[in-house]
This record gives sequence, structure tokens and C-alpha cells, in this order.
Amino acid sequence: MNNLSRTDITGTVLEIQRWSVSDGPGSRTVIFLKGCPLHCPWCANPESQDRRVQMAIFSTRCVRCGACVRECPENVAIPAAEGAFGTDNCTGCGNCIRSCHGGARSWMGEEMTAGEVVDLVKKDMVFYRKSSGGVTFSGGEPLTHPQFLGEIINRCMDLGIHTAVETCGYFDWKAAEKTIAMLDFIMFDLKHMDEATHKRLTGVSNRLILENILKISSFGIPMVIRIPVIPGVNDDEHNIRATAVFVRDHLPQAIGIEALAYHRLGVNKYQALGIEYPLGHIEPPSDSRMAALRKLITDTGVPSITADNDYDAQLVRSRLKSTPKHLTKDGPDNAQT
Amino acid sequence: MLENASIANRPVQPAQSTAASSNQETGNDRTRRLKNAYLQSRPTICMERAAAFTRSFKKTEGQARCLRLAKAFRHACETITINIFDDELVVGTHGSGRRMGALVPEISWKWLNEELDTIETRPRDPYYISPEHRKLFLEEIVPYWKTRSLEEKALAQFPAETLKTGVNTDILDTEMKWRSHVGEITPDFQDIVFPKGFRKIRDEAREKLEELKYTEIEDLDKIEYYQSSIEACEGIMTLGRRYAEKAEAMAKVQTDPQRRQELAAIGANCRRVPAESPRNFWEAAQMCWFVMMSCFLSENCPAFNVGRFDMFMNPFFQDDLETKTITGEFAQEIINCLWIKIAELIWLLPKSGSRYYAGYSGFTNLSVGGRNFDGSDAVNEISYMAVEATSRVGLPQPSLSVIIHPDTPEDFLLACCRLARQGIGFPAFHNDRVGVQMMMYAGLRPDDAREWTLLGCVVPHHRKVYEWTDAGGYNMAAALEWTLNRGRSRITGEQMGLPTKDPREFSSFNELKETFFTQVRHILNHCAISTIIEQRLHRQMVPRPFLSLLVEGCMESGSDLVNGGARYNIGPGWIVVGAADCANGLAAIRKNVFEEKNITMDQLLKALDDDFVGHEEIHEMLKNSPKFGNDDDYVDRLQVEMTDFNDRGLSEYTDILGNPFHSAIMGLTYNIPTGSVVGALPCGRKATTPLAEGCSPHPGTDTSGPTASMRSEAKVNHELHPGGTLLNLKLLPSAIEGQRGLAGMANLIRSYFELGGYHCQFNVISQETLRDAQANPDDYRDLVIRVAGYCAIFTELSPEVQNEVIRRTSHESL
Repeated sequence: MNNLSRTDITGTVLEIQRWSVSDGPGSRTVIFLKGCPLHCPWCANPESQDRRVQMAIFSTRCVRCGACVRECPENVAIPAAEGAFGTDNCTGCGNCIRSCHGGARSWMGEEMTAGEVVDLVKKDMVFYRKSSGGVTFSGGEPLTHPQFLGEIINRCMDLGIHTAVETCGYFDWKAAEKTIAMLDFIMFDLKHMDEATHKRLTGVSNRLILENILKISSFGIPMVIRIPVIPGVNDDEHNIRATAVFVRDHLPQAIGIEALAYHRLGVNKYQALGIEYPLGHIEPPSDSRMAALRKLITDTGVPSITADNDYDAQLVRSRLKSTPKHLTKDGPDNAQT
Repeated sequence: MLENASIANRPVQPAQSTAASSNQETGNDRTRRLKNAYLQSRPTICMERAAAFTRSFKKTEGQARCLRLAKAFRHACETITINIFDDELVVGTHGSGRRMGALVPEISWKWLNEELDTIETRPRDPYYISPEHRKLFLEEIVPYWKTRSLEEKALAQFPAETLKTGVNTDILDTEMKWRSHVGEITPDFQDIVFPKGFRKIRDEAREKLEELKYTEIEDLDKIEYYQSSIEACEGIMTLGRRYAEKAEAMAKVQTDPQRRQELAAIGANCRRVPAESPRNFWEAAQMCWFVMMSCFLSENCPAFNVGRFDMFMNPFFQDDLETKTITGEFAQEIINCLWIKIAELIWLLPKSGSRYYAGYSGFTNLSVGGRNFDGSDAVNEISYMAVEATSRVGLPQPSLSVIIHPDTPEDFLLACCRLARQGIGFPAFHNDRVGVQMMMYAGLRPDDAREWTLLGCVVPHHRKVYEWTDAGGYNMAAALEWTLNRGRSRITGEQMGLPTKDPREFSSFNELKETFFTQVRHILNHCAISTIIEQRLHRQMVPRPFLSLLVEGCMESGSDLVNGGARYNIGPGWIVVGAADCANGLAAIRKNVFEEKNITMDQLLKALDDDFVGHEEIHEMLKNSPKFGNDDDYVDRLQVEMTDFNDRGLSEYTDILGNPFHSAIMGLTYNIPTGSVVGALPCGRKATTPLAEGCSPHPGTDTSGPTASMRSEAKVNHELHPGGTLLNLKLLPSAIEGQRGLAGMANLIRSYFELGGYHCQFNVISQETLRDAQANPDDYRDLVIRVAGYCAIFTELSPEVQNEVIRRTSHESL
């Protein structure tokens, strides 16, 4: 009923992932929006960078049934296992995707209304309530969709659903300001403190990003700063320390820095998009390396956030009195009777 | 065999422990050594019990059946080998060694005669049998029991059509109660065993006997019943005495002063229990074990349950703490020792049965948590120590279940999640609210229902109840196959179901669905026929004198469990297998044939006939139709309809005690053999591959994350299925890292239970690890994995069961 009184704005949603425990407090539904102004070579979601809906090809799922060939009005489709397209004259009509029952072709991204997104979010209400969780907008860069996002957040507020964003910080402040003001929690990426390096790595300067983070800070919304740790790219001590110092000196309401280890789980998506993976030679950082960087952060006077911290740090974990003394949290080895 | 580590110097009852850390090590060392000895012992067939029963039966011809069985039980207690192994604090074996499968020839022996040469090498759950025991079997046991077993009588009494559908077909598994004894009770430690002790129980029977007259016809059965009770009590008391003598003799020759002291204490314990009430924690643990192993001695079969262990053990622990006669660590050590003993209880099964219940499990459930009779929270220190014991011992039994209610301390739930995260599959999480509803539906008072416990894998149960929770299992997917093939098997072409109309002539989806339910009803009819015949035979042939001592009501009424002596009697449960395959299949037909008309019925049937070969496009279309487990009402509502129907269809029948049949949706490894006889299905499942297990989504088809699986699963009306429902979720370790992951898991459970789910269990392990374990079994001997509601050592499972575990959807959240 409520929905009728509002214009149903649409946006391009890449994916909706239910039950995440590492994208904000509690159990969360994560909404990935399409389109990112940055082009980081380590991106685990390359299909999120382009704002438009794209077609992905999964050649191993192709059974060569030939349905795509039959359904293509331009006569350009060939089975995915044989390369998907004979020529470049695809008009994007989507007939081949609809005809493919094996899922060898799929759209990456879907035009959805704010109402449709909220309906999906609402499904896991019980899980949010039990965990003090909610919904997280990720991307892509969600704050480049300020109106769509604002509409969804507005409706979530009505329902009492906690909202958070994961942002790279590169967006038009004026357009996003009102949306940001409604958020409960912000996870803000600082990929590199040096402007030139940032530009070389991501394609854009970090100046707007640093301006935006200070403006957000003035709103007093709790936030966590995230550094994606890419070995040999941004994991030098100088950069990590500079980030920590900046957080310490300028972001009083940041609960800490979360150093996220680089991983290669996005590799197959590059294949699906027909793009070469740019960071093929880089190994994920070792646990000891991550521990050293986290120590650097805490030595600077900023809390380091890991999987052992809930983001809002409000979860009370006091031990029950009836727990036998020899059963301490870390197991029997620490027992003192 | 054992490491020759010297037993560290810790007093037997350390009133004041000195160096906590060294004590800690001692406790863990003992556990480790006992566990190693356990893992090195081979599952073996033992004929001691069968021989004792046979010899006793030869001497009691003509006497009442219950008395003959009680005397046979007593004879077994008098003659079986007495074993006390190194390091043990809790002693007793129900056979000649550690992991013994005992034959129960009064039920069934033929299968072993047929499998004698292959049982050591069969793919699932092979058993060793020594030349002496083989000889005993062939020369003494077979000749006596020929024509005398329950199996032979059951097969002779089944109507032809029930035989055709229900024996060796994998459509109905009727075998459960003619090849195996019943099990399925929980000794009443709280109200009978501990407060009385068996001497007092015997004396009670003697008093009752004095009031009865041989001249009264209605007294005759009772006289025989109480006489059998006395024999059974004498039996278990003899066992205690024999163990006391053995321990005392061993103490005399033991040179290690530490072990000598322990043996002396064990001897003293066995002098006391099981004849008298236990006075302290250690005696209580020993008594608990004597009763559990005697259950197995009286009937080698699954699902003898320990019950609410924390509830009945905590008072002893608190008293001992008060008098400073125990430390937490020593109590933990005793619990660990008891856990290893419980893991020794294994159930001897024929090849056919081993496909349904793979993994040598005794299905000995042990429950902690939950609520008390008065509704208050029941978690205590022993609850935590039980969780800790499973964590430290890490064997597939006991089947640790925790009962969670809204007021369960968060700390306890997190301790359980921490254990679950270890990746051994335990504990099984159960929802108190739904368990209580199930028990009330089955006829219990609400206050009694609050003290419910778990039986076998996931069955809600109570220690004052007699029931057949697993009367058998049936293959619902066969009914779908028959609906689409005029009652014929798609694999053999044989007419198995009703000759319903040509599926091409179905005018609507509803007509098809109604025909399907008609076929299901046809199966349910044979379920009921087989059970009623079996129940009558059990009443005539295998009353349960020892077990009747352990359940309230029998002593009071002077009737055995089989005659309805228990305080509560619940009707038999039938397990449905493949419900999700039917829901998925019907959804695929509705969508593609009736609604969107993507294909015709004729095209569908041809594709099924050809197992989709040459019909790849149709196959993909069917595979990508809505699947149960993704929070999609289109198909989830059909799953609800399937499961609701199971309740309604079964409850139309009543058993020989007048109680309605009921539904269970669990199923262990049932989904593999039942799948092997079903051809291609409209959900896209290929011929002969496994079906969906229990109430869970078909493996690999729930791709929307655990919250979606749980929401789908919670749509099922769980309280309608007092035989239990089951949801297995596999989580990769990365999804539940750190405190966040732990809290995430706890919250998943609480949310699922708020939605009305009944049970969930987590498999936390990587697929790579499992594949590696398949390739290098020797490196993974202690890898315990959950297979549909119970745990087993992974490397001991057959490759197909292993593959099944590996294939289950992994919910990895990154």
C-alpha cells in the first residue's frame, strides 16, 4: 500500500546476496549495484564496473543444443562453447539468453525497482532481528545511484531495517548527501593515500575521496575504514601507516581500520566477461604479513578490525557464570583451576 | 599398541589439584590413548550373545516367551567376556572386544549365513569375523534358529503384494523391524534407574509377584512378566559383580600405583552399581554405561538413547563438588571415557541395511540443554562439559544433540557453535518449541513434553514413551515415477504401482497431482500392512523384559513394552524419502508442460525414458526449473503439500495398540538406495542417482544461501511429523570465521527456530579436504563427517556416500 504513494525508481542491480556476516553488523543482505568510477586491477567483481547490463558467457555450461542459434534474429549467435558470437553485430535483444536453459549465457545486472529490492530484503527480516543485522549496499559504487539508493533506504527506515554502504568514496557529494544522511553505517575504502599512486592504480585521483570522507565524518555516522591489501601494490608500510595516521587524526568516529587480504576469487568472472585477469602474477598476502600490517595499524593508535570484531562493537560477549572454569574460550590449554 | 606413556601422577580423586596444567595434559593424554585404541580396533562380529541366547533357549523350551528371553539375557550376562582395557575409567563391553556387532538370531540370522564369505570385504561397513565365531555361528546358532526367527515368520505372513513392493525393492524398506530389533527407547535414569538401582527394582517385582495368583487367568501373564523382570535384574547385577571381581583381581597384580588405585576404585564402583543407586558422579557414569551396554546386549540395534545427560548427572557433580571429592577436570575425564565407550556400540547390519544406515553407527543419542519439567532453562555445567567431551574425543558417537529455546544462554549456544565449527558435524541443533509441539501431537502432556529428548538422529522422544520411530522408510519418488508411467518402473518396466491413466491424457496439473497422491496412498497401505504384521510378531516372539524395566509404567501395570506397558505409547513412524524430488518434479511439470507449455507431456516422457540422452535442451530446462530450498513459493508450497500429505495419509492407519501411524522426514543415507531404483525424474535428476534426503533440498539445488534454505525448510509444518525432520547445511570454514562467523551461525540457528524449523546441523569443511580424504584415507582416520543426521568416520564410508557429502551445496559467503 505504502509503495503506491512513492515513485518506483529503478536501478541496475548486479546481484543480491543473502546471509553475509562480513559486510556490516550482524547477518546482512548485500545489494550489489552496477557501475564504478574506479577501475582497480584487483577488483573481485569486474562485472560491477560497467553501469550497463552486460552479457556473460559460461562456456562450460553449454550443451550445444543450438537454441541460441535458432533464436538469434541477427544470426550472430553460436553456442557458448564455440565462442558465443560469430560476428560483432549483436543488438543485445537477449533472445539467446532466454533460450539458453543451461545458463551458459546470462545477463549480469538487472533493472529493478526500489520496491522489488525492498521485497527481497524483507524476506530475511527474522535473520536481521536475531543478529542486529540489516542490508548493505555494495557495488560497484552504490553512491553513484543516490536516488535509487535513497528510495530503498527510505523504505528500509520505515521498516526499521539497519542500512549500510560499502563505498570507494568517489561520488558527487551534492547528489548523494541526503542519501548518506539516512545511513546507519559506512564501510569506506581507502586504497592509497598518495594521489599520484591512487590515480595510477585506480584511474582516478583520491582528492575527491578524501574530501568526501571528511564530509561524511562530519555527519557523525559510525564507519569503518577498509584497506584492500594488494601485495606489492599498496601494502607498503608507508602507505598503511599514512592511512592509519589519517584515520587517527581526522576521523574521530571511525571504529577502526579493517585490512582485507587480496583474493583471486573473481578470476572466473573475468573469463566470463572475456577480459584478461590483470593481476595474474600476484599471490594473496600471507597471514603473517596481514598480522604485521594490522600491528602497524594498532601501533599508530587505531583499532584493527578483523573477523573477531563485530562492526558496531556492541555485541556483549560476557562469559556466563555457569561455564566451568576449565573451559575457557580458547580451550583447555589456558585452563586455570 | 598403545603408546607406553607413563600414567602421570594424579590422584584418583584429586580433592585439591596442584598443577592445573599437568592435570589437564593427563586428562587429554588418557583420552587420546583411548581414542587411538578405539580407532585401531576393527568392527567385528561377536557370537557370544547369540551363543548364550541359543544355549539358554535350548533349556527353556515350553516356557513363556518373555521368561525365556529374560533367562537368555541373564545367561549372556553370566557368560560374556569381561574386558577392562588400559586407561579406562568406565568399564564394560557387550561382546568379546571393543567394537562388536552382536547377532540377534531370534530376529534374523539368514542374511549372515548368505553374507558370511563377503561381509569382511563388502563396500559398506565391512565386519571381521574370527574362525571360532564363524564356527559357532554355523554349527550352533544356525541349526537352532532355522525356522525359528522372526524374519522367517514375517516373510511367510506378508501378503504377496506387500512382499512384491516391500521386500528388497528399495521402494518400501520394511526390513527395519524384521531384520533388526527395535531399540528406540531411553532408559529412565532420573526416575527409575538411579533412584532405585536394580536390586530395588527386582524387589519391587518380587512384591508384585506375591500379590498374584496362578489360579487367576488374568494374573498368569503378569506372573510371567514379573518373573522375567527378576531374571533381567539378576542378569545386570551379575554383570556388575563380575566386573567388580575382574577389577579387583587386576588391581592386585597391577604394578603401576596410579592404575592400581584406579582399578581399585573401578572395582568399588562395580560393587555398588548397577545393583544399588549411585552415590557419586563416577558411580553414576559407570551405572549409565552398564545400562547402555546392557541395552545393546539385550537387543543389538540402533537408537538406545542416553537421554538428558546433563539433567540427571549434574546433581551428582554438584554434590561431589560440595564435598570436594571431584574436580571439574576429573569429571571431564570421566565423561570423555564414557563417550569413548558409547562409540563402541555398533549395530550389526546386513548388506542391504548398510546402504540405508552407513557408518557403523549405534545411533546412541545424548541430549543436553532444553528446558526442565517446570519450564525453566535446563543448561548446567554438565551441558558445557558434554559439548567439551565431544570436542575433545571427536568420535562419531554419542550423537550429541542440543535443545535450544529462546532463553537458552547465548554463551551455551556459542559453545555449541564453536563445536560445530570444528567440522565434526556435532552437535545437532533442535528447536525446543517444535519438539514440544511434536510430542504433544503424539499425545504427551505439555509438562512431560518439556522434558523431551532426542532419539537416534533427530527423532523427538521421551523416556516414558514406547514407540517404533523407524517402522521403515518409503520412496516417494517411486510414486511420481508410477504416475508418469502407469504404475510401472521406468527402469525394469515391471508393474509395481497402480495402473493409473496414460499421463498424456491428464487434462490438468491437478489431475496429475491427485493421481500422484493415489500412488502414494497405495505405498502407505503396504507400509501399514507390513508394520501391523511385524508388530504382532514382535508381541508374540520378542517381548523385552530388560528394557521394560527401564520405562515407567511396565512395572506398575505388569506388562511388557510390546503389550503397551509404557506410560505413553506412540504409533509407528514411517520415513518418507525424496519429497523434495517430487516437489521439484511436479513444479517442473506444472511450469513447462501445463503453464508455459515449453514442452509436451509426450516430449517429457520420452526424455525421461532416454534418461535425457539426446534431450539436452529439455534436461537443462528441467534442471533450471524452480527448486525447493531457494525460498521460492512456486515449488516450496508443493513441498509443504507433499509433507502434509505424508502426515494425513499415515495417520489414517492405527497400529496394534490403537495409536495412529505418523510421519518422519529424515532418512540417513536412505536417499542413495532409494534413488538407485528410480529412473530419470522431471526435476532433471538422472536415473539411479540419489534422491533428496529427508526434508532437505535435493543436493546441489539450494543455491540461494542458508537463509533461503532455512526459509524454504521452515515452510514445512514440522510439528506434524513426530518422527522428526532434518536439515543439513554445509558451510565452508571461510563463511564462519572469527567471532563474527560464530555469532552469525548462532543467529542463523535462532532465526531458523523462530521461523518454526525443527532441526539443523552443519557440515563445516572444505570440499578440497573431503576430496583429499577420499584419495588418502590413511591420513584422515579421525575425520568425522555428518551424513544426513548422524556422524561417521569419513574414510569408512563407501565412495558413493563420500561423493554425496562432497556434492551437497556449500554455502560459502565471501
